[in-house]
Amino acid sequence: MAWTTPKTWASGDVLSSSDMNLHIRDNTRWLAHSSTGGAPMARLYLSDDSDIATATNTTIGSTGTWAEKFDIGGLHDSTSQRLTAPAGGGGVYLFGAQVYWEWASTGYRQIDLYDGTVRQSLDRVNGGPAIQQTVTLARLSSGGYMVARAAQASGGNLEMKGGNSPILTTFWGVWVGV
Amino acid sequence: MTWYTPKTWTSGDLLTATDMNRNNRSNLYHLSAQKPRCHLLSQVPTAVETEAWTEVLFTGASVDTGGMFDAAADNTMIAIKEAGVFMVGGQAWWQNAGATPANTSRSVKVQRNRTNPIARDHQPRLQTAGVQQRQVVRPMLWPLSVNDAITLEVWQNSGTTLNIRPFDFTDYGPNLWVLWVGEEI
Repeated sequence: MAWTTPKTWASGDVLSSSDMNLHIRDNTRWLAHSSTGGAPMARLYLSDDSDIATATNTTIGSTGTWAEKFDIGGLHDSTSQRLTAPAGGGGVYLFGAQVYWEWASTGYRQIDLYDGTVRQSLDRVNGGPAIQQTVTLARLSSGGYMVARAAQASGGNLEMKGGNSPILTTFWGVWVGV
Repeated sequence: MTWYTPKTWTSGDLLTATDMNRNNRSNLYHLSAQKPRCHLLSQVPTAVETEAWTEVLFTGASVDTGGMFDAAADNTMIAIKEAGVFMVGGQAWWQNAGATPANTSRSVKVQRNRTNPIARDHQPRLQTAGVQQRQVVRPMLWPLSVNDAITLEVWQNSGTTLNIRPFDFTDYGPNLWVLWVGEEI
């Protein structure tokens, strides 16, 4: 299902059940992110603790696996570990990512949101933050995607904490407009 | 205004005023002017003892649909009136810790029903001696239920009591907010 441009009514138009379903029911479902026919919205969590090598920018989910807290409209592509705008689901999205790091005192920690061409947002801190978050708005065409990436320079492997808790490592996206 | 599961129409259905009020008027209101949302501010300090999670006190709401904040009943919480997936966030502004040890930790989290954290920020080295620090819990998506209590809790280990600074109309203060973004899952 997809968003339908609202009909402009003219005098003499006959109001049909198809009109009501397309312009009232379906567009309302879309705007409410209904589990049936709703606009895409997903929240993922890293299923298990996962190491990232030092000084290596890494797509989260390529090490460790994203699991779904929920996925409305098929936004999560579990093969590519991306949030991908489905057919008919192009538009403006709000994305966010968070990494809960194993403690280490040295080097930088970095997370970003990346659409395959442009780094859309970045948080980079020196000195071992425990939790890092970043949020951005981005326009995606159908098939366009966003990934969450992480990097660190502690000098060795460093763990991202996983599990079904909202305060651990997470990645989410929600359609917010045409 | 109440959210109604959108009706599926069949050929021959009579279009009634009730249908239009529920499926068009009420749902459009719910998705726009009356979308459940609440944003709390505070004009009083909250004292935070060292190594003790503490709920931030709020004095008012800049945005509140449906009476989600009732300071007389409980000035620490947003009460969810309608189930759904919400975006939640918050912020705290720490008092200058003065001569207390630098590099001590500060933490802030949004709690559901006072036991389950929805979002959290923890900075082991946030505090530099002599500097006030703001801490933001960035937006998170999470499903909430009717009567859920949403609170903002803070923690620090400076070794002494620190205040969360109030909003003073010239700079930022603590805030806590929720925004309905979708139907109950």
